[in-house]
Amino acid sequence: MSSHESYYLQLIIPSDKEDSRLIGRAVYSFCLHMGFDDVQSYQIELATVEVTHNIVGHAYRNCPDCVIELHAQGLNDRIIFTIIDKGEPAEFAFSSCCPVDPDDAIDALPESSMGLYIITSVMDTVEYEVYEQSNILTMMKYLPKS
Amino acid sequence: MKIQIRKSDSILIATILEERFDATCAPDFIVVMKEWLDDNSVQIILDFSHVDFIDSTALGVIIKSFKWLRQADNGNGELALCSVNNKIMSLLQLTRMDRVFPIFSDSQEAIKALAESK
Repeated sequence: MSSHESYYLQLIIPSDKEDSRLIGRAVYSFCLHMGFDDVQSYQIELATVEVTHNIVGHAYRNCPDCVIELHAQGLNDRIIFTIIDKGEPAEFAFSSCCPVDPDDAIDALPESSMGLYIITSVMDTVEYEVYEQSNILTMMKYLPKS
Repeated sequence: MKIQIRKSDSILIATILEERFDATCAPDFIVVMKEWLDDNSVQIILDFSHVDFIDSTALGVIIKSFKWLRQADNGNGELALCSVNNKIMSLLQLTRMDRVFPIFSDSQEAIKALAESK
C-alpha cells in the first residue's frame, strides 16, 4: 500500500452466527491486502468473528432478525474496525489474562469464554461504548513494519 | 458436519472435512464425539488437514472432548490432534492449548504415538 492510500470496507449482515463467516472471509482478505501475513490475517479475522458471535449470542440473544454493521478502515500504519449493533448493551470486561493454565487439572480447562481474551490479545486496542442506542466496538491493529 | 473416519486397530482417526470448524458446526461435532465414545472409541486422533479456520467455540468443544476422553477407559482415553496449519497452531499457542493437547505433524506420527502409549 502506498503512503497516500487508504481503504474502506463496509458490511451489514444478519445477526446469525453462520453469516459471521461472511465478515470473517471479508476481513481476512482485507487484512492480506493491507499487508498482514496469513497468520496475522487469520487472527484478526478470528477477533472480528468472536465479536460478531458475542453480539449474536448476548446483544441479540440469538434473534436472527437484527443486523450487525462492520466498517473496516485501512490507513498507512493501522487498520481500524468498527462493529455496531443495536442489541442489549454488553456487560463484560476485556481481559488480557489467558484463561488457560496448562498446569491446571484437566477438569479446570475452560470450554467457553475465550473470545474476549482472543480479541484483546490479537488487537492493539479495543474500545466499547454505547451511543444513542447503538453498541459500538472499535478495534485497532498496527500494520507490521516492513 | 462432514467428518471422514477410519480405524487403525483400536485408534479412530477422524478427518474433519470442513474448511471452517466454527460455532456453526461445533454443536454437530460434540454429538458425533459422544457417539464415538458410546461406541467405546477411546483413542481418537483429530486430523485437521482440511481445516483452515477454527474459532473459540470449536476450540471449546475440542477441550470438552479432550476431558471426556481423559475420563474414559479408567483414565486411559486419549485425544490427539494432527496436521494443524500455522493459523490454527497460532490460536492453540495464544490460548496455551498447544501445551495441553498432544499435537503431531501428521496422522501416521499420531497413530504411532498413541499405539505406543497403550
